[in-house]
Amino acid sequence: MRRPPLLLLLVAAALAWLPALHAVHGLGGADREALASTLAVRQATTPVPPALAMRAVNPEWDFMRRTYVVLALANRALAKPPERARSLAAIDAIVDSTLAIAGQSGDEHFMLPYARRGPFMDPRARSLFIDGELVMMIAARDLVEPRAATRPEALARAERIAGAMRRSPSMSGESYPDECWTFCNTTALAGLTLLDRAAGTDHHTLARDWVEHAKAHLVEPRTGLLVSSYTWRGEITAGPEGSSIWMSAHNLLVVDEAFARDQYARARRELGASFLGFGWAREWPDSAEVSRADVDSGPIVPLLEASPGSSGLAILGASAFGDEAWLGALLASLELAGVREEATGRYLASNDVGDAVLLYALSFGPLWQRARAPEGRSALLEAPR
Amino acid sequence: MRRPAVLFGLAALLAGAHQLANLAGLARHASAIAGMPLSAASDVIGPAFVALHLAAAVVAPILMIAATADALLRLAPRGTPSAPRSGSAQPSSSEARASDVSSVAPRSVT
Repeated sequence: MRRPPLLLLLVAAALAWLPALHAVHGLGGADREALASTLAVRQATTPVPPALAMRAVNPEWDFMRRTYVVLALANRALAKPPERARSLAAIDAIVDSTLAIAGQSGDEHFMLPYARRGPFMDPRARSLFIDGELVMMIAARDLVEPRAATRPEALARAERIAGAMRRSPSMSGESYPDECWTFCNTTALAGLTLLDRAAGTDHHTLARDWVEHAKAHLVEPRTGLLVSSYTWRGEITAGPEGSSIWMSAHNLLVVDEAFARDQYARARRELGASFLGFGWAREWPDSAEVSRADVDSGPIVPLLEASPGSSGLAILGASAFGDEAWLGALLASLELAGVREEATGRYLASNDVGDAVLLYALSFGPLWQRARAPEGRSALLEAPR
Repeated sequence: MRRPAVLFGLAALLAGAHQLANLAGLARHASAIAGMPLSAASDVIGPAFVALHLAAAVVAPILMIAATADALLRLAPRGTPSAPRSGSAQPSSSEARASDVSSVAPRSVT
């Protein structure tokens, strides 16, 4: 037999290996639970780790890590009664620490420096980024087991959120002066929905009005996707972005499920990609005019246009919407390229926010299920102790 | 057998370099991908380590498979003449195979 040319040999070998690669790096159900369990133990053991390095890059990450860990641990507390006491203790430590820091140093402690560039357009408002996620953290905790100590804080912030959204021409609160984000507004609405379920408040008219306004004014016509940011008056400043839309769609699941599913399906079509069993997400749709990597997207992988920020949050989206095939593909990519550290279960090419998002995505389910339970079910929740 | 050896060698080199980089603690610089460089050098070392990590996971096995296939093909008989349909002027198929193996064997051990 003649020796085959080297190129032919390599191509044949690649054709044999590449289709099998995702099976080698795929995470099955047991692997996912083992990973989530390892990450949960780490977060519960050290709920408020030092965050100096992360804060030096982006102080928002310090805050967002707290939110995702609280949401993840609340899910695990609901799903796994033996973990409940440990998870609730960690949640309380995170919420108390966050409230204390925000009280002492102001919301700006968790914000990028341009938070101080000027006053909010609405002089009575404060950052919806901070208020919304704090309400969500406290309400998530209360949906597992009510806690009287933090209920007044949640109610006060909820009232401030509702006021700011109602007064705004764009029906949206500002995260930064004259800067509104769909990420933050949908998070605030989801937080209010959780609070409604836990505390008996009622923000469903506000949520319905925001969704109607968003459908009319905050959807980009070419893709049908929600834009990412806009001014207080509603002028669009950034179109659809992966680092916003996956979380926003996930938030909308408890606000308006049909709209949420529509947004996820569009985002999946415009931003999702997979090949040979590996998945990733882009930060911008093809139609985007300006696409420059930033602190939210992370460095863009050439050719594939994969964005670490978008792909990480896409794991949450795929998990929340039960998109098992793509979730498996995204996790396979993470396992292949994330450089997993065996001892800790951490992916070294990620950071603490990435770990928290991953833990939340792998734990997602019971909390949103409880928030969406039929009306009468809320009576099952206990009064705050 | 030079080509399979070279392919095996390249695969081993990639795997070995990845292992050495891991032992040297370079993996921790991968955090630069998530915007968290350990040092100023992380912006170079981090992506380089991830590239090496991917090469070890994707390219090295391809080289190994190619090397194995190449070696097996070289060990296989060079060709099997078809048996004569009639007449006795041609050697029998077993004689042909034997003569073929004998002619190949010395080459395949070098």
